[in-house]
Amino acid sequence: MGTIYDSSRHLLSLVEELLESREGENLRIDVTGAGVGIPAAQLDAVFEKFTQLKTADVVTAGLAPQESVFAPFLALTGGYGLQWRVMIQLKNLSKTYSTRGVEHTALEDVSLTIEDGDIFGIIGISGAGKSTLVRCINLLEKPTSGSVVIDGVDVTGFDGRQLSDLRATIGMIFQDFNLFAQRTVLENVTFPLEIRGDDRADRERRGMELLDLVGLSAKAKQYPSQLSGGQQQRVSIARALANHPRVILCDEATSALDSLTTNSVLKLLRQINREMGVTMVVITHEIGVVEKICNRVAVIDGSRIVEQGMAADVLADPSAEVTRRLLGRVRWDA
Amino acid sequence: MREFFAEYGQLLIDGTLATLAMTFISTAITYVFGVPLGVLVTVTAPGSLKPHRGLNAVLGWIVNIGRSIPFIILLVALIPVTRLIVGTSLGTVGAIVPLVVAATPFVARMVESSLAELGPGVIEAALSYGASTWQVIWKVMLRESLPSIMRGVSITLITLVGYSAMAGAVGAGGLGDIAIRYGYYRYQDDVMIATIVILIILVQLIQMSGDLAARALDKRNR
Ligand SMILES: Nc1ncnc2c1ncn2[C@@H]1O[C@H](COP(=O)(O)OP(=O)(O)O)[C@@H](O)[C@H]1O
Ligand SMILES: [Mg+2]
Repeated sequence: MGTIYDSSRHLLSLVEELLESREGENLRIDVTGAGVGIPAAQLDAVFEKFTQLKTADVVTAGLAPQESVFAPFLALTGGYGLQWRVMIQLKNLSKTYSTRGVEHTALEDVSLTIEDGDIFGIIGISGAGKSTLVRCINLLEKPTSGSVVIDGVDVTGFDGRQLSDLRATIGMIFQDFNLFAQRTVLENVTFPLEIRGDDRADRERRGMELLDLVGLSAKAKQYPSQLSGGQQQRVSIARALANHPRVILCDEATSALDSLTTNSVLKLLRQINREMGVTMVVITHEIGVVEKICNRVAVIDGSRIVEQGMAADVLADPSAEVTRRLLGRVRWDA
Repeated sequence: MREFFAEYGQLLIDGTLATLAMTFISTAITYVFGVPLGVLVTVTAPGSLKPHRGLNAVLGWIVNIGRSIPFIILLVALIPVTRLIVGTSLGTVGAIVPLVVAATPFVARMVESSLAELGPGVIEAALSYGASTWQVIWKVMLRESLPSIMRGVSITLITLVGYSAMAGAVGAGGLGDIAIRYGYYRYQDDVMIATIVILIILVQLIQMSGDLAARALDKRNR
């Protein structure tokens, strides 16, 4: 049983390669963690290739069944393994703040592996350490110990230009949107390109493209204060995408929005993940967000990861007390 | 009335122009020093972009000392320095040095408080997109605070109209000088009242245009 590490974006070429090199063999393809990162345009081609793998077993353990684009192939059998490229790896991460001599541990020995093209949820109650954790990924916060590996590169010690370049490939969206109030919607979206030194015409073209994607091209010349919360978050999503990021970090991106607006923003995030293959790290305290878009989930409580796994499994059979609380399985006043 | 203007009209016009020159030139120079100082105090503060305890404390002290010396004392104490820098301690030019020295710490604090209104969120957003410290200062902190800094400019102008009147007492010319010479030494109440009326009008005009400019600049709440 062989193993191939690669991006879900390269699924098609991998399948082709497999077909050629293993002709006549029994194949077993494990697409754990995939299926959310495949560009829609390629799906049909992928389907077609898979139908040629008559003898293969495609395992979709990584997907909620209703989400699985590979569902039709579940019945096939074989013996070949395929794994997905790791995008983010946190190894034994700890973070201790010290304010006037008083030490406070916000993260303790956190290890996580997030695959390319995944939507990875991190859920926990307020103060659990979620924001600290996500801010360690793009090093807005320097971990006290442990390491951060992005796409195979240990970035923990990055600073200066190197750090700026790294951050440019990681988009981030926030609970309060953090849009620039004195810039137009278009200027907000093109900010990441402006600081990279792209010229105006290029960045405005890209900006309008992104505003189109989030359905706000009519608002390009307006200011954030003229938009609703949901629209502002769409602008900040467009801004996060400006640099063609590999990863988008969402820190409570829907916590300031009502439930209908939340759904539309979540749908947009899922669409972006599917069409562009962008890996998403979704921080939330709302179980509904995990239920709706996350593939995998880690539960953080008291600075530690207390359980993790496939979102569907964790939600169906939570092992940690805090997960049951978040799920409302514990009486609220108990 | 006509007689009054025939006799003092030119004097009052010259005085007004001198006061305006002192005020606007000093304000412009003050901002050249005050903005970088305010930015430096802000970014070296604990938890900010470039925390530096020592530098921050020293700058804070300098600003506080500058703000605690009464202007009239600064005015006299700075005479030798003024002579050294601009060659004279008299007239409009001579007033500019003490006015700038007095107003710079004041402006630095106002810039600091304008920047503080911004909150950490947008700065963090900019950093998360890979902005450098300079880019954050220019493209985010100063740009986002511009309307607030603009409101500070009119406050500074008005303060310096008052200070320049005081400077008039020690030979700086302008409306303050006229008020002292005619109103105080010669008991010519009509001239003194005229200078006061002009000062009130100046202050009102500055405040109004400052508010208008700040409102036109501010893209929030529209
Ligand atoms: N800059 C900081 N200095 C000191 N303590 C902090 C700082 N940031 C966060 N903390 C503390 O770390 C803990 C985790 O915070 P945070 O990561 O923001 O939690 P969450 O996002 O899950 O609500 C909290 O107890 C918080 O008070
Ligand atoms: Mg948080």
